[in-house]
Amino acid sequence: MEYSKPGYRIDLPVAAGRNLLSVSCFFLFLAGAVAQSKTPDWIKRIDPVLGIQVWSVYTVNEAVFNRDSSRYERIRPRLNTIVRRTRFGVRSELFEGLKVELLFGLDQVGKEALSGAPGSANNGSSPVINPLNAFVAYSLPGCGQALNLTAGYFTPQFGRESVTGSFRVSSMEKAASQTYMRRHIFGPGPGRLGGINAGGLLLDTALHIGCQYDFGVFNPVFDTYGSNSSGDYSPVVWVGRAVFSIGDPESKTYKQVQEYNFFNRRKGLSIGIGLAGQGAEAGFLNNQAFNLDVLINWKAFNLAGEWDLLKRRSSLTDNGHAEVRAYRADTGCCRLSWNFHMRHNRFLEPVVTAAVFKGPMDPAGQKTAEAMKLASGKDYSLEAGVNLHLMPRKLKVNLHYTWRRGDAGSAGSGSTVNAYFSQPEVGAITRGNWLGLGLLAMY
Amino acid sequence: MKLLKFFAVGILFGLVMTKSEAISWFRIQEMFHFDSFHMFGIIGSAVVFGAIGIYLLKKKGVRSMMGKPLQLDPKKMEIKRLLLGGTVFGLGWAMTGACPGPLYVLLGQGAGVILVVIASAIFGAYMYGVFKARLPH
Repeated sequence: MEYSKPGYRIDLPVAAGRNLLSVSCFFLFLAGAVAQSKTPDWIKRIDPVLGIQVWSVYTVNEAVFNRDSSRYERIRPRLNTIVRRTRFGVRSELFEGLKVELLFGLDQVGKEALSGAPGSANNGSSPVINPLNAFVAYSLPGCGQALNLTAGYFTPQFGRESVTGSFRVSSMEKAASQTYMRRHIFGPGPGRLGGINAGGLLLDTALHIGCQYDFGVFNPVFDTYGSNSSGDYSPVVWVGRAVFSIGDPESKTYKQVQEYNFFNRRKGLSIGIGLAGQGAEAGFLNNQAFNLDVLINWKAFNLAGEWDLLKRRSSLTDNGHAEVRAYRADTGCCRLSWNFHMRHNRFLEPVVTAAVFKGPMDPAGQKTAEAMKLASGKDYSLEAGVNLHLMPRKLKVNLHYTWRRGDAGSAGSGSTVNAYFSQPEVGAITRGNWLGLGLLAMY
Repeated sequence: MKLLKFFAVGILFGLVMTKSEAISWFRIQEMFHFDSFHMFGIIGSAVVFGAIGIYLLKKKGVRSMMGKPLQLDPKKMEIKRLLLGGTVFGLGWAMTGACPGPLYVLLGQGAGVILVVIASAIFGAYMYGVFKARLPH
């Protein structure tokens, strides 16, 4: 199983270079346009988005499976410096109520294949740039925050970890549970799909309660990804989520990108529930996901937890007989942190994050999972570390250590049943533990 | 002659409705069963382009065919009204496979049976007028 198949990317380095050139030209044009004395209002309202996340990763205990000896062979510890994420793009409110966002990412540059950090490398002569967000959001007039429509390419609202900004989580990396969930229900690992979403925020400031709801339909066009295939039929991926808050709301305005840490300013509880599904298509009879999540921010204390149930039914042919088989897996994560408020509005945040994936372990279940191109076995990770927020939400450094364990179930050694046992550039592997030192800047 | 431009826009609307298959009963059923993105894509595109169109109409001060300024007052966000009205509208939409725009397009295409639906829609609008004062707004 390939967990980071780069099918959605612009695969050719030449095309990537052309993309980079186009984007650069766009920004140059923009800068030139803004510099003009009679600049249209909509150009003045354009906000650039820039962010970078650089890691130094020291990996230990990693072992690669040797097919000749049928054994895992330990590799030497290694240090690797990675540009883990780069974000650049623009946001603008073209006119009152209508916003647009274009966001690109240049990720995993310099990552060594045998580094313990998750994901595949983005190297070669010209690393590729990924489009991440390209959408239009329309806030219906007269509705306040209650009804907003979004259309384009963006993250469906499902699962707190998935909709929390990658620069906003307190762990070094987003929990692996979101990757399993995204692969299952959306297809692509980056979790973006083309579609439309209706959502809104309803707040009662007197009772200190609120609800953010979202419902979206998305087009499953990623024929080559994981396990989603349009095929002859292309039923929509429908995604619904409602988050109920007590106490301080997470936000006073409707937002699609959520946060985890409010830097001692929130005293509130949020409980989210999500449902997503897709009808029969080439790869399966139906595909479903259920999500439950919680977020507690009580001044310096922050706790977030999430559980996802992933289900799929497919008609599979075994020895010439078609048979309907069911798949079920559970995944989730939990994160706990505390903010120490320091001088000059800096925060020191110790944080612990645990993530787990539990799929079928028996031979029949794992055979079904393999036929459905889904993960099986167990994958655990535990991450502990500390963040120093030099400028909250804008600049931080962090030092974290991540332990990883897995169980391949009946598939045994040399299988690639889940992300712990596979690395796209390597094949069968047992992922190592890693110490990460990171710098994150976002403006 | 004065009405010619409106006639032309009406024809264009009918063509778009027909070629996009938004007048198809099967497309509507497919949408309500989440079997295809087709209709959601059409509606989503229409909302975004509609918002831009309304903005431009307001900005350019376009007037109505009677020469009066356009009055486009935002509707109030009333949950009860929207839920009840939306549910009734959705039931009719699912049963007939058409909302008000496509009704006239279908009639123009010679689907005479749609006259029953048009008559029902007009009757429904009339009944709304009768009971308006007693309904939640």
